[in-house]
Amino acid sequence: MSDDPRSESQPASEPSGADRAAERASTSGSLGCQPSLEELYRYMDGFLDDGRRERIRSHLEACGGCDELYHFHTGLRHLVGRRCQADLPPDLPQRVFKAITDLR
Amino acid sequence: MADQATFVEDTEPFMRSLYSTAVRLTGNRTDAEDLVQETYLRAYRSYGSFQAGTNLRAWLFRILTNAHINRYRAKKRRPDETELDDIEDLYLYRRLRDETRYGQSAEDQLMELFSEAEVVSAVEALPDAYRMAVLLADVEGFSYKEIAEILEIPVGTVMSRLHRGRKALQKELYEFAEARGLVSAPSD
Ligand SMILES: [Zn+2]
Repeated sequence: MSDDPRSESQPASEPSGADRAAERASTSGSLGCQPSLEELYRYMDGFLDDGRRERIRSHLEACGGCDELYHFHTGLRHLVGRRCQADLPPDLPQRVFKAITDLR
Repeated sequence: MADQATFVEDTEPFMRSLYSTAVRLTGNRTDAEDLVQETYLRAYRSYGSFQAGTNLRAWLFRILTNAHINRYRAKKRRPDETELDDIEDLYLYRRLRDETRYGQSAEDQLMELFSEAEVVSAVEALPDAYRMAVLLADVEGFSYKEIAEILEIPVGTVMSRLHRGRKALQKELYEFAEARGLVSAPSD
């Protein structure tokens, strides 16, 4: 697992503009793309003050690479959210509340 | 102060999401039903100490996660705080980029690529502390501040568990995709 050699190397394809943007975004570098992944998460999760949120929003509008990265992560969040729902057994509320009224 | 007389009507709307979380925490429906049952009994007993008008949903989730942690400790199945390996930030993104089709949203592509069983088993593979943070944020939509209150940990810890938990989940998902031959192994 952790000694998987693939985790050390990058795919051999040509780096695209989005890749370079992602590279900078992932290392919170100083060249153009400011948001780190952590900051994109905070933006996605609604945990930034108004000023910072606005700066990220306008950066995403202007930068295709960061915007694509951002949509990928919101897509993942929704994937987890939708796939992890479980249907409530129809008789569970009745059983739970019966146990409680039995206490009274 | 909340009134026990209105407990049922106040808390019933939250049972479905509590149960969903319980299923993903325990990994099976029988234990999840027991956990929900225990959560409601505990909540009922201490309902008098709940401040009416404050966040009832978060309060119920705090009881649920506490009950789960206590059961877990009692069973001593796994250490409480398993650490996750360091994983690169854009693990899944980099590996899926070249496989994805244009003109389709990232969410639709991901939904097509990963079945419910795969997403669920990736979530269930996460160590408890990380799984709870991911479930509360990504499934239940709680804010960092609410998650901090539910799990009784600092907001900074919430963020690092979420960040590491999400990355570990992505690595797990990628391994499923690769095992099914849905993506080609990197050619290097
Ligand atoms: Zn950018």
